[in-house]
Amino acid sequence: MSEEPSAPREQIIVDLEPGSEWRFELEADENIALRVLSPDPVFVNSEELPPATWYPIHRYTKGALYAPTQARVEVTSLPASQYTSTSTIHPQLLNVHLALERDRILAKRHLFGSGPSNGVERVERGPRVMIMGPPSSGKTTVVKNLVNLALSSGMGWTVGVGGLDPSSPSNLIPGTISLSTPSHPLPTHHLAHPFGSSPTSTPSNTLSADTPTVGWWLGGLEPTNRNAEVWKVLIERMGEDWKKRCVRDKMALASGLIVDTSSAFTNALLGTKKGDPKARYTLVAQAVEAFEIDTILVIGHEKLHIDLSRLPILQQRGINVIRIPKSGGVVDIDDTQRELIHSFQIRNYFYGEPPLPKELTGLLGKMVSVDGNLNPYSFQIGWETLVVLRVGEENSAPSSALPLGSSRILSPTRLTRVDPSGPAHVVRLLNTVLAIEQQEEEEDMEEVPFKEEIGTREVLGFIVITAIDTLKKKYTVLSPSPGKLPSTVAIAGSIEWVDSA
Amino acid sequence: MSYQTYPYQQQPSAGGGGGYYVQPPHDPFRAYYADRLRQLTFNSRPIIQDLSMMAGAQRDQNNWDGMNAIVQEIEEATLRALPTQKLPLLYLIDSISKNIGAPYTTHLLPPIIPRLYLRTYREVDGVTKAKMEEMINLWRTGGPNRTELYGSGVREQIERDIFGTSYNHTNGMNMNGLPNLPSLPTVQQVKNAVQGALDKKQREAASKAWDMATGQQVNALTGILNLLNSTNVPPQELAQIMDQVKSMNGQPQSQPPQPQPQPQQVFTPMNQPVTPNWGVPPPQQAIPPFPPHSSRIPPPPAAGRPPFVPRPTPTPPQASLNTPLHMAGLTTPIPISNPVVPLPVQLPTMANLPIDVSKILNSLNQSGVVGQSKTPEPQAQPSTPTLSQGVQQKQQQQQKQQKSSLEEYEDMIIGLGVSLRSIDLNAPHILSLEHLPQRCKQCGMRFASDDNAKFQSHMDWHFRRNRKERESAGRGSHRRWLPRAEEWINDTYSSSSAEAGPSTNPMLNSPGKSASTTMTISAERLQQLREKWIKVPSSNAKANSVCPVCKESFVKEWSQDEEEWIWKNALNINGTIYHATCRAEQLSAMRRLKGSDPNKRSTSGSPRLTPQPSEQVKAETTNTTTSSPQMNVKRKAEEEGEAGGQKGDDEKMNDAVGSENKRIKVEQEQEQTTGSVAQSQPNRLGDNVTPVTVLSDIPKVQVKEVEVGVKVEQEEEKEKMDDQLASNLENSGIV
Repeated sequence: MSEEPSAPREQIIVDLEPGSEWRFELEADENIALRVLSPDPVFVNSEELPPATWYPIHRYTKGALYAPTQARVEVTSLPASQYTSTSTIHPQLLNVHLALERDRILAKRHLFGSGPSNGVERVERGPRVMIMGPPSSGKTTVVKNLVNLALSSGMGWTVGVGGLDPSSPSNLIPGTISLSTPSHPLPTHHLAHPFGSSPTSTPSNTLSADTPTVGWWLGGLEPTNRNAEVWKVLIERMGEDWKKRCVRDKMALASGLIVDTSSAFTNALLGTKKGDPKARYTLVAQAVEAFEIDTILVIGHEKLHIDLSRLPILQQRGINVIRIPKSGGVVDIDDTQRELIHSFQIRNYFYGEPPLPKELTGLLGKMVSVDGNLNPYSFQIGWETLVVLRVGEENSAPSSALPLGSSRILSPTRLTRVDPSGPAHVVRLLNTVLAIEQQEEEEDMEEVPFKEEIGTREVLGFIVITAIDTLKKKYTVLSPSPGKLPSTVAIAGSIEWVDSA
Repeated sequence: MSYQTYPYQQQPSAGGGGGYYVQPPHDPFRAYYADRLRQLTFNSRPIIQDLSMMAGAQRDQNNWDGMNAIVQEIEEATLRALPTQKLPLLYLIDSISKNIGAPYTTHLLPPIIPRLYLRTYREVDGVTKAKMEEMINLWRTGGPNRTELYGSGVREQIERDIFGTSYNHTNGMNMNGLPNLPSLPTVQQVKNAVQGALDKKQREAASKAWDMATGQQVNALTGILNLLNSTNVPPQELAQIMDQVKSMNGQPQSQPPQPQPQPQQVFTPMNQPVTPNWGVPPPQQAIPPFPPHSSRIPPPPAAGRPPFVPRPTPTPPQASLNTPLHMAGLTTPIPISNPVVPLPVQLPTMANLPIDVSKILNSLNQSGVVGQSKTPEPQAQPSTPTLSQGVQQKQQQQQKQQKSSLEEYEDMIIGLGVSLRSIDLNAPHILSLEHLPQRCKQCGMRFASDDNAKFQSHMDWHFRRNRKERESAGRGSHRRWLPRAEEWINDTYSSSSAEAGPSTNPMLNSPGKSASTTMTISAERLQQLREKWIKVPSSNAKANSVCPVCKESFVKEWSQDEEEWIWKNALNINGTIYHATCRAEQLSAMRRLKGSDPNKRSTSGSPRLTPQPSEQVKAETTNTTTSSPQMNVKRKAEEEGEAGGQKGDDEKMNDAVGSENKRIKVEQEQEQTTGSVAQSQPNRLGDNVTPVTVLSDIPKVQVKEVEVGVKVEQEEEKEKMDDQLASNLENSGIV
């Protein structure tokens, strides 16, 4: 910009007609801030924007403001790609929300015994919804909208969020699936952590952060036929933990669960085993069972809707399959974009929120509070100390290499210790993201590789191998927290990350 | 138009919205007008015409500022003019009144004319006096349709003063023939009273638009006024109406002429953005309470151009009823205070009255105008702090209402009947946030109105976060390790205090719970602390003291058990009185500072820790992470070289950060005494872990480095303090 910094900025106003959306797609050099000048609420992903307060949105973010009533919004600069549209799916989402909200309230009245609601059916627990759809159909956005609608109703819900999409992780890094319980509406400032980030040592100012999260490591970006068995174990464990939580926490039970899923779920043959070739949507059915899902929202995909409605397993369980329209604002993301997002998410895990861009620092007027950066720590750790493992048959020889007639007897979730001494392994391990798995006290390090269960435990955090010293036999790792690692069992996956600013 | 030529005239901003008000002293128009007035030292028709035109122009623009300014300037000019030069100014007033008319004749001039006229009358010579008498005689029919020029009362008041009570200059048509009968008010008096009451009620109605009762009263009073204007009402009934209206106004029976006219009471700009609309009666509920203090106050900026309100002027037959005695005067003061004067006169029996009047009285009764004096309005209560019980009840009521507001929301949602089984995605519903009108100023989150518990805990949450952020500023923060599934499962904070949010209780955020139990104060503990009390100190200075932590004073309470005035939630520590909760929070904050980072997990003694790098290595890590950037750079370089010189390097570093090191050693010792499981494990892996660098930006680390020295000192001091305070606490029986 040739503008002098001291020159008074020209006000750029976006006027929104009632019921319209202002959509923006920020490029690499575009950071904007916006503030609402009109009195009525304006929403970004159903989070109500604070009145007359600058709300920064970082580069690459694609999103939309929704104004149910006439609204006026000021932006610092107009993105190259921006337009208003009246074709919004918010009314449909609102109807879904009202239905969910009704179930939550009925469940709450039932669970907390605040008087029976006469004439209304009994609801014993909050709604458990799973959202499915093809890639780039806005699944995560729909989930976020529904979660935010629930969290801003003033009822104090703590809706569970199940992140079953490792390529678009809710709170952690790519390759993980997670359960979290946000309690405040989740803001949309940047690409990372659509459902709030996990706690840091300094309490966060943005409402999203400090979302209690528990995560599991898949190590891949989506469930495939090869890692399906690992996936199933992980989902089972997740489901169990969710059930346990609901036993302890009635509010969570009443608030319900909203599950984001991988687009791979739309593949009917995913997870189908040779022994049962006719099985369809195996992983969907398994997830439905694990979380006791009662409603499936299918975005756009008509065939998927029909398929699921007819699926015997789902019919038996009485699952309600509802098709909701795909938002017209959904942007197709290509591979480069996805990589960029993934890299950004991992960076965010280690370094925290991106710093406020220069062009947004000098704004006059109130700004929503922004969290500071985090400092990760780097140190060396010996090859012997850090037990790096891989999970599953992905890493074993293909079945075709087995002797004729013999079948694989190895468990699909077996662990393999990675020996970094081989030259190929050094290359493979460099820049690999490792998940630190919890390790029980009595476990002997020698036994670890033989305890399969370890591979599917919840993760405690992630480290990255940034350098390997073959002479000293040491890894240099980047760790989010200072001090020693909480455990020295680390699982490698296929996620890599190069720490470049 | 001629007024456009006035060079200094500032276009008033009344209708502009975004404009600004020129304050009267700097008003160029006012100055200009005052200038022109000074030229009016002789009976000059052109000047008088000119000045009148200007007054008219102001009226046409509906500029109340300007009109007020004109009237004030004229009054001032008249008062300060030489006796021989006063008459032209009075002629100007006369000219404005007759040529421009309302609102000068109805709102602006009546309040000042009596005193102005009388003062002038006393100062001028006989010739002028005669001319003034002539003038006032013409006022009788000077108004439109040969009515009174200034409405009613003004001329009578002046005449009474000039000619005395015995002088009856009218056509001698005193219907009663009993001029000294004070008990029977005239139509005019009644009208004035009713008008006054009406004005007041209208203002009340405007300020409380929701109040139906006031609206009814306004209607009733308007009805009476219309009746009085259109029919002949017998004097007795007049008296009754008068009494009731007076009782409603809390007005003394006989009102002396108002010595200090209060123009603002008569001047009622409308709070409606209406285009100038002369002569059309305005909607009556829209009159706002007029600013009561200064007559120079412009109309409220938010208001549009206030349309002029014509007063109903008396019709000639009614004028014949006038008695010049004991007039209430036009400038009936309108008491603003709540009417508490009891009814002075018994209500008349309705049957005796002509049907119209009894109807009115009935409606008066029904609308609560009359009954009001007996039953004070409930909204008067909250302002009286002494009625604590009432307030409490009210609060409870509000809470009940509040509860039901969320419940109403629940019922509303259930009532909508949107079910997942039979959902119509396109049903036209709108998102309602009406049950959450209260918003957090910091983050914009919404809360149910007066749901103070939630809102308060939310604000506390903000406060704690901000404080924690300040405390840890410059220290650098980092992502925590995730909780184990068990910890997450048992994390039921959300069910107990839903709004509190994740950070309400920091304990729940940290993965190692045992590490943080010492850092925070549990709810029960807080409850215990709140129960602490001390006697209110006898010395005055102490009794006024505030808590040194939160700087707030203590709440005095009468303890039944002790039969003493006590301060709850208070602690006396070495003569300084603290809030027990503040003190505890401060202490825990200090502990947090002391035991902050870098490796809480290791201190936790958590059972899941397995063979780990030894404490020694841990200390090294700590050293390194807090060491200077130069060291780090150097360190890095050396590492890239060879591994050999590492030990010596470490020692050097230890020297460099000697003081810091000491502190860490102290900590280490403490940790050893706490006996963590990790330490009891054989140290097999220790040598394998070697710390390298802090990967934060170099400039940031430099900042840190500067602070480290200071902090070490501070923290040592704090530790001392902390220990001392802890022992104090023990002494005082808290811990």
